[in-house]
Formats: sequence, C-alpha cells, structure tokens
Amino acid sequence: MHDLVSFLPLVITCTGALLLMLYAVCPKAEQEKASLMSMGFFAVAFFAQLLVVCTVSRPLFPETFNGMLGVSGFTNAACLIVYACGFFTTLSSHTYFRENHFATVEFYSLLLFSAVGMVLLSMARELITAFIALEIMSLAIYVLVGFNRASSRSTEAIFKYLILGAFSGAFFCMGTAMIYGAAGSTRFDSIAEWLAFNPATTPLMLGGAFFLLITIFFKISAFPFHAWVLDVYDGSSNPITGFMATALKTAVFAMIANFLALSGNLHDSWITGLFWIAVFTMFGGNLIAIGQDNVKRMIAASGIVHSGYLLIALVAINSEYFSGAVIAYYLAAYSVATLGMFAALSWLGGEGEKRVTFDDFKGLAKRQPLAAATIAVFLLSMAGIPPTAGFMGKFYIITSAISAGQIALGVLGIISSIISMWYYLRLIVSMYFHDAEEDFIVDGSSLASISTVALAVAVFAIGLFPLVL
Amino acid sequence: MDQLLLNSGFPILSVLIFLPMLGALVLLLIKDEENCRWTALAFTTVVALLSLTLLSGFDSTTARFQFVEMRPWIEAFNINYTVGVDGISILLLLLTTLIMPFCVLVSWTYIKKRVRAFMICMLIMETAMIGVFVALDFVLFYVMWEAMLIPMYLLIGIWGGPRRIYASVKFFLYTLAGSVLLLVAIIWLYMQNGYSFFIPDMMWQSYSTSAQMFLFLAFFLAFAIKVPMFPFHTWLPAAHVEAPAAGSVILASLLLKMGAYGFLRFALPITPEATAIMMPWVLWLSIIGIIYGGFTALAQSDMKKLIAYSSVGHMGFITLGIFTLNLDGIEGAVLQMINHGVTTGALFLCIGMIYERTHSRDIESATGIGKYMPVYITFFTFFSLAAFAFPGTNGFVGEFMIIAGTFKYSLSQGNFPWLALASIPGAVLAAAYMLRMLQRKIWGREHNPDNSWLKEHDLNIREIITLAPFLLFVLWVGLAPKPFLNIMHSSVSALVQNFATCQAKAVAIAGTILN
Amino acid sequence: MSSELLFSIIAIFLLAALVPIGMVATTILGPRSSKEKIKNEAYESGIKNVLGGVDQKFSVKFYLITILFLIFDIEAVFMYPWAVNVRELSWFGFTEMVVFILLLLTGLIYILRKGVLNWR
Repeated sequence: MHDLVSFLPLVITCTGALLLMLYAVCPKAEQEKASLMSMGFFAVAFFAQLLVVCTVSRPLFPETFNGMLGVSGFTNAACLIVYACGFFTTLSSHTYFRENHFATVEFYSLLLFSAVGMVLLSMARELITAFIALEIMSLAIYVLVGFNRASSRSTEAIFKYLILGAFSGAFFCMGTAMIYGAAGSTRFDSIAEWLAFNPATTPLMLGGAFFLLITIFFKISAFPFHAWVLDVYDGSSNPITGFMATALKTAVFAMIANFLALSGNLHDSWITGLFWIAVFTMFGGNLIAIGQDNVKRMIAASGIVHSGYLLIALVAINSEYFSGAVIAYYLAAYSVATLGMFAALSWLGGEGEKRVTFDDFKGLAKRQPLAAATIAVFLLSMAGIPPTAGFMGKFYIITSAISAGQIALGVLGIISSIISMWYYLRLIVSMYFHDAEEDFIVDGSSLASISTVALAVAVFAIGLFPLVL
Repeated sequence: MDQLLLNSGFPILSVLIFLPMLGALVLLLIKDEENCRWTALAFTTVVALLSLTLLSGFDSTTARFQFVEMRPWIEAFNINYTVGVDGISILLLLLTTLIMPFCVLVSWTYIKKRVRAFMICMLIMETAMIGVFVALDFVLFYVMWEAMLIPMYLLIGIWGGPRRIYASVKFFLYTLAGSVLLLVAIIWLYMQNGYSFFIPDMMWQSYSTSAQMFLFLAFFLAFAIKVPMFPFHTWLPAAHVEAPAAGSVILASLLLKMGAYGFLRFALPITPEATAIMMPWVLWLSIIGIIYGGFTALAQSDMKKLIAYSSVGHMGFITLGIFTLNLDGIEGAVLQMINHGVTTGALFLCIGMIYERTHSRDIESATGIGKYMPVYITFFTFFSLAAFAFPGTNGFVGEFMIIAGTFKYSLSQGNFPWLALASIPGAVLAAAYMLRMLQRKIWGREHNPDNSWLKEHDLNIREIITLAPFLLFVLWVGLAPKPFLNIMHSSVSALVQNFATCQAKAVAIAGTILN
Repeated sequence: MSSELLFSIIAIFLLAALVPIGMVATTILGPRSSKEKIKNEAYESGIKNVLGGVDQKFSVKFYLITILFLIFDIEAVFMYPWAVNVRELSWFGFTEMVVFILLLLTGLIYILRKGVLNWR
C-alpha cells in the first residue's frame, strides 16, 4: 500500500492520460478543453509529487514493486521537473494551436503518456523496467513529433527519429541481455553486488554497458549520436521540441545517473570514455550551433552542448555519496530556460512557425519589450551568466568536476560556455540592436506569454535561491 | 573572523547595493520619459548621499573590513552573502556612487530613444558595480562581476555609435573569456580552504608555489583584460568609441578600476609568492602599456579614441604602482585610480557634450571652439591638465607617488632605477597628446568647419552642474590629498606589511629546506 | 582470453553455421515436387507477388488490424502466469489483473469509438 502513495502522482498522470483518451472519442470533445484538462492533470501530479517530497523526509521506499522501481531524492526531483515541463508544455501548446490547427485531443493524451514513461524511467531500478519505460516514452514522443502530418518537415523528422530510435532501443535490449549474462540479474542492486566482487571490465559487462550507453547517448544526443537532433527538433512543433529537449533529457539522465552510480567499479571503467564524450559533445555542439541561423536549430544544437555539461557531472559523480543534486539542479535550470525559450517561440512563432530565424526576431525589443526581455533572460541563463539559474547550475557542475579531480574538464566546460556566448548573443543582438521590420502582432490572450514570464521569474528564483539542493 | 567589524545597526551596504535595483523595478512602472529621468536621478542621488554617510562611521585607523553583513545564502555550498569595505574599497565605492548621478545627468538629452530601458540598465549597472567592490564572498563577487557585463553590453549595443554591434560583442566576449580561469581558481580555493568562499580567509595562506602560479595566472588573465594591460587592451578603444557618453564614463571611470581592484584584493594577498616572482614582468608590461598608449593616443584624430588610448597609458601607471609593492606605489595607485576615474570621466563627459552638438568626435570638427564656448573650454582645459599630471591637479599627486614608489622599488633591489626612468616618457607623451588636442580645440583654424553657431550653445546650467564637482575634486586632490590618503593608509600599509611577512616566511621556509 | 569470451565466440560461429546448414539440409532432405511451376512460387497470406518490389502499397487497414491483434493477443500472455498462480496471489493479484484488464478495456473503447474496427 505504501508503494502506491509514492506513485500517486504517476497514477494521476496515467489516469489523466486514459481519461483524455476517452474524452477524445466523446462527440463533443474540444481540443482547447483537453489542453486545459491536461494542464490540470500535470499541475495536480506536480503538487502530489511535491507533497510526497515534503511530507516524506527520508526516502521511505528506497525500492518498491519488488525492486523494479525506486524512489530517492534525486528521482523525486527528476519527476518534479518532468511534471513541470509537462505543465508548461501544455500551456504553450494551448497558445500554439490557436495559430496552427493540427492538434487533436489525443495530442494531450500522448503528452501525458510520455510523461508517464519519463517518470517510470527515472524511477527504474531494473533494466527491463527501464527498457519498457523508455519505449512508453519514446512511442508517445514519436507520434507527437510527427503530429503535423501535413508538413513534410515533420514527416522527415519523425522518420529519422523513429528509425534511429528503434535502432537505439534494440541496442538497449542487447545491452540488457549481455549484462544479464554477466551479472545474472537485471536489477541494479544485484548488478552492484556482482560488481563488488568482479571487475567491470569483463567482456560481457563491458559490452553490455557499452550498448546501454549507446542508447543513452542517442537519447540525450551526445557525440557521436547527435546528428538527428537538428532535423528532429526543427521538424516537430515548438511545444513538443521544448518538451523533448527538457523532460526527455531529464528522464534519461536520471536513469543513466542511477545506473552509473551503481558501483564505483563500473563508473571508473567508463570515466575516460565519458570524459572524451563530454568534451566532444560540448565542442561539437558548439561548432554546430555557431553555424545555425534558425533559432530552433540553434537551441537544438545548444541542447547538445548542455548534454555535454551534464556529462561532466556524470563523470564527476561519486557513487558512494551519490545524491544527484548537481545533475538535478542543472536539469532544472536548463529545463526552465529551454522551456521558456520554446514557450516564447510558440507565443511569437505565428502561423506555420513563420518566425524562426535570427532575422525574424530583429527589433523584437521595440515591438514586444516583454517578450524580448524574457527571451534574453533565457538565453543568458543558458549561457550561464550570473545571477541566473544557468550560472548556478554551471557553477555546481564545475565545482563537482574540480572536486572530483577533473580540473581539465572543468576548464574545458567553461571555455565551451564562453564559445556558446557567441550564438546566444547573436539572437540578443538581432532582438535589441536592430530595427523592427514587422509588428509582431500576436494573438491576444495567450497562455504562453504567462508561462514565458513565469519561467523567466523562475530563472532568477532558482538562481538566487537554489532550494533543490 | 578577526578581520571583520560586524555591522549591527543599519545594513547600509545592502541598502546601497539594492537601492538602485529597486529603482530599476520602480522604473518598470513608469511610462513617461521625463519621469524616468527624474526617478533615475533621484535614486542615484540618494545612493550617493547615503554612501557619504559611510565616511562618518568609517574607522580609518584599522585595516579590518567594516560595515560587514553576513547572511547565509546557499547553505549546501557554504556560500554566504557577505559584504564589507576597507580603506581601499570604500574609496572606489564612493567613486562609483558619486559618479553615477552625473552619468544620469549627462544622458538627459543625449539619450533620445528608449530612455526607460537606458535608465534601468544604468541602475542595474550600479548595483553590480557596488556589489563587486563590497563583496567579501567569492561567489557573490563573481556573480556581480559577470552580471556587470549584461547592462554594459546593452548600453553599448543599443545606444552606441555606428559600429556598436561589433564593439559590444567584442567587449562581452573579451571580458567574459578573461574570467574563464577566475571561476576555476575560485573553486580551487574553495576546496583548499575547508569549503569556504570567504575572501579574507583565503588571504595570506601558504599555498604551494606552483599552485600560486596557477592562481596568479588565472587572476592575471581576468584582471589584466579588465584593466586593460598592454596586450589585452584591444577591446577598450572599440568599446569606448562606440559607447554613449554615460557608457564611456562608466567604462573609463569604474569598470577599468575593477581590474586594478582585483589585483589589490585578490592577486596580492592570495598569491604573494607568485606575485613576487611575476612582478618584474608585470612592471615592464605596465611600462610598455604606458609608452604604447601614449604613442597611439598621439596618432588619433578621434577624441574618444584618444582618451581611450590615454586610458591604456594611465592604467599602465596604476598597475605599475600596484606592483611596486611598496606603500608609496600602492597608495599612489589607489589615489590614481580615483583620479583617473574622475578626470577621464570628466573628459568623456566633455566630449559627449560636444558630440551632442556637432555629432562628430573628430578633433578637426571641433577646432577653434574655444572662442565660442569659453565656459566649456575652461572646464576642458582643467581636465586635460589633470590628465597629463600638471602640478596642482590631482593627476600630479598620483603619478608622483607612483614614480616615487617605482624609484624606491628599484633602489631597494639595489638596481639602477630603469623602471622609473622608462615611465617618464609616458608622462611626456601624455602632455604631448593632450596639449595637441587642447591647442586645436582652443585656437585651431576655425574656418575649417564653421563653428561659430556654437556661440549660442555654450554649456547650460545642467551641464555646468555636471562638470563643476569634477573640477572641484581635481583641485582638491591636487592641492590637499591628505584626507584621501588617510582613509586608505591603514589598509594599504597592512597589505604591504602582510606581503612582506609572507615573503619573509617563504624565504625562511626555502632556507630551511636548503639547509 | 577468458573462457566466457571464448565460449561466446564459439557460440556465435555455431549459430552462424546453423543457417546455411539448415538451408542445405532442407533442400536435400525435404520432399521435392518441382515439376509443377505454380507450386514453386512464393505465396503469403493471399498476396501473390511476394518477391516484387518493396515499395508495394498496402491499405493501412492491414497494419491497424495487425497491431490490434498483437496488443490484444499479447495480453493473454500475461494472463497465463497469473492464472497459474492465482491462488497464491489471492485478492491482491486479482485486483492487479482487474486494473490491467480495465486499462485494456479503455483502449478497446477508444478504438471502437474511433471506428478502427469498421472495415470500410
């Protein structure tokens, strides 16, 4: 019974998804009402999760459902982020679909389903559960990416993502099988026990972890599995891109952090590989981002860079005292900024996302000072300029890297963040330093504007009062 | 904790930091442009007056930090909100608060578009700058240090000249790149000092020499770019030329001082051994800066660029003074920081006033205006004299002390005073380029552009009010610098003393190892 | 080299060998009736041209039915082990199975109302 209490938010989300699915076949179903409903479900789930976090001081159930799932402070934080992302995504979709008319009620149902998958993934304490969660999440996301069937870009995106995603799913299965072959169990704690007496470099363990990591690197778009990101982010609708960039990454990072923190043995054997992947991810992402003149693609590429920073934190985690606070904080900071960016894009993008390049945003500061100011705040947070949340996140990551003895990685991380200033500044330059060419008339009462402002406030709030820690 | 004098009463420093921020928030609610100007002026003036009350409570007989406030901020990382001032930072703090109202005044008619946004930027800038000078927690310092970039970037980029985008991005990336290693150094120090970011705790510790070298290089990169020292100065002329008048004043008077302040507050106390090792190099770099700045300024036809390059030279004098590491040199350097802030700030204001009228910064376009604008040219002459350290003005006192310190340093090393001799041409060059500009502006051939219409447009009351306090200050420091020296004396002599003991200790340790 | 790895490699080779062995063995051992040409043609569930191009178009209805079949067929797989242990699991197990069936029921309602099962 206790199990169920800590899964209350998950149950709420799942029920919400099912109810929306049933609502979709009601003759009177309306898309706008559905968005409000799913907003409600996300909000209730978020507060239920908050309640679980606050009322349960120690992790009451380190593992539940026979060890398949586990709850810790870290997973709680990850779940909170996922729910919040879902909430703000529905807010911005509500606005987005006023100008773009391809949404149905199922859109929101699928959003909730993918959130279910994400939450399960971050709680997974067992590889098969992780795989199922990964697929629940991915399947829903595939459909969401390709939701705009009329758009050829969207079709291209879903095709690429589906084929490659299916491949990476197969790799995950393969890795699970090999680890099972080595350790004789798919449960994290049993694998940890096995690792305590055996080296992590036995061929099967090495191969298994290798395949698992390939899947993970694909999902978080780390080098060298990052090539799909630009097209897929570009092809999917603004709110979904935001959701993919934040919630999905949060869930996958939560899972891999839980896995790598299993045993120092395992972590040590991968540390060199992770080091180089982090470095290449950061600098590769930067190189790609510098060349973009489309805001969405730029944010997509900068998402690669942020995965690189998170990989730094993965390199630096200490399996004995793993709390995940640094990773959770960075994910929260990154999610707030990125979601805000996409909320703003949904708000200003207009019909058929006509405003997406740097040039389209010229002179925004004059016509829409509030929008420009919030976008500037998000960009500065992503770039890690104090006193925003992004700075604090980067600060924690660099601190943890240096305390783990990875000074070189810390320095490289900061250098990369300096390079990234270049393309963030470009957007600020075109918003503030150029004259407007159009009026940026946007639909009147748009909820996305509220979410944009709320997120901009959150950037500072999280930055100055980091409660997560 | 014995370096601190806790402030139990009114949290004056916090009020100083956050009052401009509050002003920025208030401005958000005001629509009317005229009211925006008045509100910004009111807030900066109140801050300036409040900061003057610091002087009455300031105890200049101790080197300890005063008016200290300490509150936990992020407990997980042991980051505190700690602020306080000593004899060095109080002067810079006062410089900041006192210059800001004049920056608002000079922008009164200069800034025509988006007045509200401009004033908000100015007020946020003030918060960040005050924060840098009073922060005693390294994270707080770094946050303020970086936060300063954004409003400045916008000031240059939105209200700047034709090449503003290039200048603003260059300024931003350059200064940001400088602080790359600073953050790493901060975190390294945090690990070394029992997980504390408290700045006074980090001072005078005996870190290993190699660690000190690394820290020093990190500090040097950050601060030398900000100062800017010779090879890192290229962002300065671009930024200066393109910035609006108030932006140039803030850049020259306040932002450049951050680098020098950084050297005094961090490089010297935290890495004394490395400083001693690197000292000759830095000194010669300063000399190169002085000469280079002088020659380049001599070749400029753009008045703002001329002042910008002269700043490179003047800042060279300041770093020269700091790295002589004796009382005279450092006191002279601190005094010169204030002087340079006032004089160069005033010169930029003057140029801004001319630019507002003729819309040109070219010396040629302002020839012969002495005839038509007598009030203006009087002010301008005084500031120019101060800029090349004419006796009786503030520049003379500062430069004299620095050169005296340099002589002392060479003599204490038993060397011929090459350094001091090498810095003399800098002073001569300063006189050359300043007089060249002055001469053209006063007597230059007037027929070139016809400037006689300016007769009607000599300085108005607002502009005279803006410039008069600067002139007063120039003469006050020039004739009676004692009160200023008194304020900083204890802090600077404590710094020099601590440095000497640290050196002695290091030598002693090295001696025991050798034996 | 560890025996584990050695074993894996041998197993892979054995598996790889199994495929051609199987193909060759069936041709040799199986009954042959190559006289009638039509019997040699490939044939799959009423679709004649199996060996044709891969870009042949099918009606989407086929896919839908296939997927639905998979989903509602696989549910039975979960019910077998439950049915075997139904006494030990008692009421808790029963509730869980009811929840599971309810979830599927929602899906069924959805597809019914969407008209997926109407063969038009």
